[in-house]
Amino acid sequence: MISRFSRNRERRMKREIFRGLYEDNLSLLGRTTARAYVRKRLPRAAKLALFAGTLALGILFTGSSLSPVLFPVQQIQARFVSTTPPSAAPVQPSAPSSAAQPAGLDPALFKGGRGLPLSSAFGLGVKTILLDPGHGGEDTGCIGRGGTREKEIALDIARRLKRRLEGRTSAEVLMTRDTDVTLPLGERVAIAHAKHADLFVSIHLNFVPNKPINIIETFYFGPGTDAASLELARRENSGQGPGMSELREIIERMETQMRREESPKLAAAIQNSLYRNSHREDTGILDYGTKRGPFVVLNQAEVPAVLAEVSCLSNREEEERLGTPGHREDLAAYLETGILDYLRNGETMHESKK
Amino acid sequence: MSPKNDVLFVGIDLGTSRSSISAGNGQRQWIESYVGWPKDFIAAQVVGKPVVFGSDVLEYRLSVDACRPLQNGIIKEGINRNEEAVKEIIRHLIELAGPSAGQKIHAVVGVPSDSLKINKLAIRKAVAEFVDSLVVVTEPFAVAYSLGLLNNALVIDIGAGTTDLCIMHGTLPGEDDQRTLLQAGDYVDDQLFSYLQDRYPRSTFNKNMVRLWKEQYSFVGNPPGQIMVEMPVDGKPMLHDITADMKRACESILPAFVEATTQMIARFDPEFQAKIRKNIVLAGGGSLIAGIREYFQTALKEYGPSTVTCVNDPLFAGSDGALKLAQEMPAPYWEKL
Repeated sequence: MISRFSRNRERRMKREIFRGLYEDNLSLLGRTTARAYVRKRLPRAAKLALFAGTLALGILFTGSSLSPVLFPVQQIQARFVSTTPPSAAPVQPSAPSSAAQPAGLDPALFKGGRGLPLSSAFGLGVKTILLDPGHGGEDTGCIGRGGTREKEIALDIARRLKRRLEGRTSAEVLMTRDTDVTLPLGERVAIAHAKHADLFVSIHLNFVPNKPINIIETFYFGPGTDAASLELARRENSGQGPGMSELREIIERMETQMRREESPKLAAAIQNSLYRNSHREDTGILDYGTKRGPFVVLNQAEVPAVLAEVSCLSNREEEERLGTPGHREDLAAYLETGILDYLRNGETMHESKK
Repeated sequence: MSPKNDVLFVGIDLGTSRSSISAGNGQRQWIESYVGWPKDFIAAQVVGKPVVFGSDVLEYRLSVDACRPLQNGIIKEGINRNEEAVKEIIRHLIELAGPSAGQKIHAVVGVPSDSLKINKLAIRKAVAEFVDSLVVVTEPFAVAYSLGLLNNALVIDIGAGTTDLCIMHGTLPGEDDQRTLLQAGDYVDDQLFSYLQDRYPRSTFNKNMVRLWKEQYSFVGNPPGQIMVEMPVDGKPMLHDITADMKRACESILPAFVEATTQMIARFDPEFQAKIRKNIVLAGGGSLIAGIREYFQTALKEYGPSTVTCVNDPLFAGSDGALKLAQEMPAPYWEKL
């Protein structure tokens, strides 16, 4: 009697397992099943909350609620709202080094002798590079229409980049996560502190709803200069850091720190390499340059820190390309080239060595 | 051919170092996951085959373009050669299984737990050319299935490229029930290689030699004896004591295992944690490291009584489990895959 009960239970278990396997494999093939992947959509209430949050951020970072232009209209249209098809006209890529420079900051103030970074002037070396694949675990990041998840691509690119850098530099290359785990932003920063990281590179993918464009941009910490950056920061911070109300205070404490000089340089080197190399293969790709953004993970890492949006998951063709290991290896190579350019004190090579 | 024999069920374990196949006709074969193509016309004559596998690649390594395509258990680098190499491995394994002419092949293929969806797709693509129906599963799940460990068990599959952990709780394990660590056999090789380079800078040796030493002598805990290996110094073979370096390299992977194990168990329903601790199974080539079972059991003691066992046949445990799954999977599911 007992053995029959146990046999029945095992049979039920196996039935459940087979069904799970079957549905899992069907969903892998992109076919619909009861448990197949359903793209998460924001409910209306969440959209309203998002809008209100963005509005509040706009007020916070533009200085006044009475400011006549909270969001520069062109920027919003360029990144989020436009439903018109992309222009067929070629887009002139911006020059990251100049476009990147935020208003009100004079880079000359922060330069060491002969234009070298302060770190070089003080003979500071880079012994540890910390790579931070964005999101992970329960936090999938953005999800492409084909089901590709930002957390997986970011992790894969970071692993490849780690392997590449280990072969090209004497610095120790570490990762904040090397598996699919949920890792709060605070813990990522704690790892940077604990491991005495000298460089911090966070890897993410962009998502531009309603517009089939492919863009590359790289951020370093500072008050955002446009609404789109603020929205992106909100998304990447995803409620894990301090409240947005505290950000202004945090930002103000940052004024004299070394990374105000170093992080933009690192960002520019990475952006240059990413854009110029990607542009050789996809001439339609857009260069959004380097920007400041109030990313929690960049603020608290007390070393040169950047957040690179290396690709754009909302673009169908790009999502397909990201599905090929070769393209992910290319992106890792472009990041590697950017980092090495920075480490060579700006002797920019740009051409990635695949 | 009777309808029963229309289909040959096969289970395949695609590994970084070794890949194995278990087939319904009783064939069980494995190869080292190396593929090589002759470099030129002369090399083709020396090798005598258009493509070589496993130990032949090492033997003819000067004459062939060698490729070990599965880094961390997944199709690596993305260059066409690697994808082609995976296809060659699959084709070769299926040939070794010896299907009859006209026989359909239904395959279950094991991949590491954390394989990205896109890599699972890449593996599907590589295998699909040679089989009529295909299911992809995670390796530790296949091992658990082969052992009948469907409920309240933890399988730790220590391979070459990855160590995969999988908790079984009576249903198909989800993402949270599985974890992949990069600390595995290759990691031990790298550690040992660097320790030996530091200790014996004048001696010459390569990673393949280090891997063979590891496979022969690996241990954790108390040394089973002095480990002496031969390495040339200025061309003259000399014996070297590598006991301490071997111990250090093998033990370097253990803290990560213990941490991941305790974390995974701690996340599980507290009512079942004790049951899982008493049902921990080590699989994969790493389970052959002398003393690893005892080390684990001791390390887990502070969390409560634990029972750790090793699978009997680590080389085929994954492919045997995949075959068992293939044979027991209901036919309607196969038809649609």
